[in-house]
Amino acid sequence: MSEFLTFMGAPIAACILLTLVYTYFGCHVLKREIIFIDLSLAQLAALGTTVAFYMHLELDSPGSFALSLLFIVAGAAFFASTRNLSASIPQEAVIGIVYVVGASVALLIASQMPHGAEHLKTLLNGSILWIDWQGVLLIFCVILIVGMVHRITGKKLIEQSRTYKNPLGQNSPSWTSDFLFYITLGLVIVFSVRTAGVFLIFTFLIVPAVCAALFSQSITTQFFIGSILGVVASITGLVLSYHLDQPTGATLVCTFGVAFLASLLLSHLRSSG
Amino acid sequence: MNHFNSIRIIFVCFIFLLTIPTMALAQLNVVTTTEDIASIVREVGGDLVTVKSIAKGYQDPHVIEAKPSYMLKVNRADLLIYQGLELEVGWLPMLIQGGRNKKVFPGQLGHLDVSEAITPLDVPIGELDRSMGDVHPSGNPHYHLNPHNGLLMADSIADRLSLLDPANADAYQSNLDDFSKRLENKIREWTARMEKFQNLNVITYHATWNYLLDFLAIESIGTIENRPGIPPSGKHLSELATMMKQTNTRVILQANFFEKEFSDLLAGKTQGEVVVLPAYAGGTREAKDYLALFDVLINKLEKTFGKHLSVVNGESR
Repeated sequence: MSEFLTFMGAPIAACILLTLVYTYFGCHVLKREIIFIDLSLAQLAALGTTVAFYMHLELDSPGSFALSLLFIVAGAAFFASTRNLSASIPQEAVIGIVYVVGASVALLIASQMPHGAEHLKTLLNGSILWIDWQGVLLIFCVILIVGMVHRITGKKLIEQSRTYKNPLGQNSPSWTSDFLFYITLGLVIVFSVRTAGVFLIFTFLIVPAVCAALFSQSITTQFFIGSILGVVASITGLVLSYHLDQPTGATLVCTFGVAFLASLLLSHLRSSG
Repeated sequence: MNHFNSIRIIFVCFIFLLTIPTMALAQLNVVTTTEDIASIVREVGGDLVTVKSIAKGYQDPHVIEAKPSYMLKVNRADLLIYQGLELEVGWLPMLIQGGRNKKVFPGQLGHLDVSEAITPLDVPIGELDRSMGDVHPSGNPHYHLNPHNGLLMADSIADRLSLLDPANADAYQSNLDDFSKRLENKIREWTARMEKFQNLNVITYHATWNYLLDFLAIESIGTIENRPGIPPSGKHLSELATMMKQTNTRVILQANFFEKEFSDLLAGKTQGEVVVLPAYAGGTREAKDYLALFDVLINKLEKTFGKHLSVVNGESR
């Protein structure tokens, strides 16, 4: 047991922190129907890191993080603008276009470097297993900042997400509030995608929120249900990965998948029974 | 008297029993990144060490999925041995950190980079420009594929085992002598069998085979990946095809953990043949250790080159 905690303590702490923050964003993302926003933002962050790598900046150096942030800021501004530029195209389409173009530009840059493709792959795969307490602290600080921003705008944001599809006059989100939403999510992604990887982050973002949405319509209730489910699934996944000795990220994603199936079954039984 | 004897026997047995666990404890715990290094450690360390490899022979050690047991292995290791020259750069530094074992931190006696024992090939000359593509800044990391380097690797491993466990230095030395003698004999055999193919041309998929080709004095006239890890462009493939026809090159070598589609495409356009080879010990069932790996490689190459050499000679006649 103590050996388990020595190795898995930091990953458990990181998973719990990430589950909580991503479930919060997930509830909003789900309401707004912009499910793939995190893939797109993660790809932009990876593009920034790739450009940094090409410019001989060390991985995880302040310069590399700064470039990732720069790309995220540009992306957030773009996403916030397209919503107002044209009402006839769905936001999900814009997100998809940014994702594929971002990924391809990164590949073009990577093809100029030896083992560039592998570099890209590790950027997007990551592994939560390697995280140390310092990394956990960093994620904690980022979440603290993001949390403070949302503490101020939270109430309004919930209202906006609830009516995102059919905005009613004054509740219609302004450019600034949309931008703020994208940039805070992007910030969390920049600081977690290297350790957790794209698959795991997508799972943290969507699965708890979707499971919770099966049982409640209120964003606040969804957040509580999703958080509990996410934390339980995270710990189960890490324990399974340790005892069965399977790759950690993939085991976690599969555990969340099972949790989703169980929720689906439960909600079906509830509604029919 | 009888009574005294039985007490003595019991006493001896007791002492013997006591030594069993200490003998087990005295074994050095070695962790390696590749099966080839593990195989050489097994030869040199014999029963005095236990050894485990992290990458399996059929995996590309450039990319390894993180598993919890890797951290446990590193955590319990007395000695961590790796191939170096950036082969494991994508995961080993994080694994060492995650293993939380000071004995195997860089600069410690339990940390051995075997590449320090060999002279690397393909070291870029002059200023390094990443945009040039096929440059590993410190040289090509696949040096275990020249059996002469196997001798140097074994030397360096034996040295380090003796430093960590001086009481058994003589045993390590005699194991080393025995292994080196067998490897040298094998090298003579392989050289003799492959001599007639010297100066043949081949294409390789990745720069994996440069050390083996250097050993066999066979020329690699190009790689399908024009930049390591990046799929080839159509232009590059057609240039290779032209070059293969001009030089009458028929053989394309590639490791069994890479996708075969590009090699097959090129072979189809040039009447060439793709030879898929294990690049590490454990890469196929027959290539179970370092010596067996070369037996497999030489057998396959001898057969393939033999076939194509007769074709080439037949055409030129």
